[in-house]
Amino acid sequence: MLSVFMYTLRSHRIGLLAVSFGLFLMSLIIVYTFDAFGGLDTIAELFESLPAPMTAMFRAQAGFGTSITSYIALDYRHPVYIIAGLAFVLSVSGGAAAREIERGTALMLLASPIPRWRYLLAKVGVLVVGAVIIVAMAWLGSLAGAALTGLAGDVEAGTLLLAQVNGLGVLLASGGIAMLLSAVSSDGGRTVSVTAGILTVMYFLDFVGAIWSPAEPLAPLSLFYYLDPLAVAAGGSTFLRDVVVLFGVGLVGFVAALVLFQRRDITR
Amino acid sequence: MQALAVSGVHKRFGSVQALQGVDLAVERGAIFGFLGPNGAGKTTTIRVLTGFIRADEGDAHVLGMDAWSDTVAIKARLGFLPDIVAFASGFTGQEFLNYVASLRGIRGRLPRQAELLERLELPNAALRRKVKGYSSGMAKKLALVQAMQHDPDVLIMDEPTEALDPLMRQELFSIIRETRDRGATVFMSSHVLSDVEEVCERVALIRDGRIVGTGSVEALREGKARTMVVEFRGTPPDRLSVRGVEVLSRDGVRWELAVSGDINDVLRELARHDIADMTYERLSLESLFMGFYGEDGGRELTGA
Repeated sequence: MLSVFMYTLRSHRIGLLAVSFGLFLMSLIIVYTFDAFGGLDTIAELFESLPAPMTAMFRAQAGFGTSITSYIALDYRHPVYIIAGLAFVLSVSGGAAAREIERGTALMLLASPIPRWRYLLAKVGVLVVGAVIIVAMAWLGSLAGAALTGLAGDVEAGTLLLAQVNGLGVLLASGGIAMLLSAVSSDGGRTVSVTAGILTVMYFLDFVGAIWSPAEPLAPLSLFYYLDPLAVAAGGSTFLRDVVVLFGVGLVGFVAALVLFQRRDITR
Repeated sequence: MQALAVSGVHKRFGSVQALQGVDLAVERGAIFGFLGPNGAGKTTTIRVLTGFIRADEGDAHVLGMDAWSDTVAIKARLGFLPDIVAFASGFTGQEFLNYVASLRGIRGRLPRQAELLERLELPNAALRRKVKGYSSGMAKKLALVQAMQHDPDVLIMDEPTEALDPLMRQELFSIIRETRDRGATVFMSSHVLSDVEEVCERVALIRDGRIVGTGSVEALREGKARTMVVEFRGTPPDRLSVRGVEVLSRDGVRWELAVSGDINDVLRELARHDIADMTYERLSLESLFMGFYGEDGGRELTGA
């Protein structure tokens, strides 16, 4: 199983490096340019002047807070963060089973005396490790930016780490859904497309729920409803609920993927 | 003792009934050929035996173990060449072989691997190259090495000769015979009759998901007409007086005959005439199947 893990990690290393260093730099630059935006008061005024849909995108309808930690956490919900992280997740999960079956590469490998579920578990391991590396790099980028600008004393590293754990939950929950679809499919492209479609619908469900009250009851159906780094920075009470839901969805998705991959026919 | 045993296996994919009660038995230490046209059910049967597909009905056993529930234990003793030879990206040839070996808990280069690489003419220079750039023939050779490098007790190969040149086919047949001589069982599918004739002791014919005949290759041939083309020098005879020969066409001195009788009688008759040229074609898979098409169920061939 270690061989499968190492090979899979190797085959995704370029994507993983690109995403994690990209988010490291983005996090660093966001803090590094903090003063250029005119400080907390100016940014607060800027947010107050934004239309509701814009603030809803960052889940900052109640204001973005009064600390630099909140300012950094706010950006952890930036669409670039989300898209970059999900790109890695979809790449690993789409290739984990469906693409290998589609291309026929799974046949010689699965003729080995290892249970299929363990083969897929190694791929799940790469997804989890990759997601942890991505959020850790984003977090380190924030700390590096704070250190470079002399703001380290004002930044609450532990709070930002919790905010990144919240982000990790979204990646793992999305990975669980993607891995489940990959485990039952023989078409890697379709798996990635369908998962991307589901996540897009969820994103807009959360967005619409935040700005349009009739859609509000539907928002909890979205994974992104539970991504609220600003609330973490503000010491909100939903953190535990959010991570339980997100990690729970991820766990259920991964376990279901392992069970179904073990039982399915490999027909390509 | 049977190495492979398939009994009453059915498999349906959506509206397609891929297998309709397949029965097979392959003795240990045999080289068994599995013949059929494309889409007949060869690959589905092989996937059932290798635990990639679960049968809807019936039983499949390999070395006495259930092909589905005991598939991990079976695979520890199995070598498998799939119909689709495709490699995960990024590997060199040697890395791929090492990777497959590592999945079996084997580290380092196997002695058998070196021998197979040499005999199948895959030099070190080729092994250092990325598999992405391999020709179909090289890819097939690499896939054959991965299937045999760990000396399996059962070797299942789906279309092993496809993409190999004639010399490599002969080398592969030698390797297959030696594998059998070491006590292993070889089960190979093909849609090329001559390949199966060359190396297999017994065969099964599958068509439309049903076994339509099993037996020895000699028994398969029995009663099946083969085409002979004769070109007479000078004036051809009015007719050929020999049993088991039908004149299919006459184009001046060039006659096409269907020979189903004793070839010696035909040769004696032809020797009475002045012959300029003659060809006697191998029995084609199509001709072979003509004899079985339309028959209900499978049957054991005489002389098996």
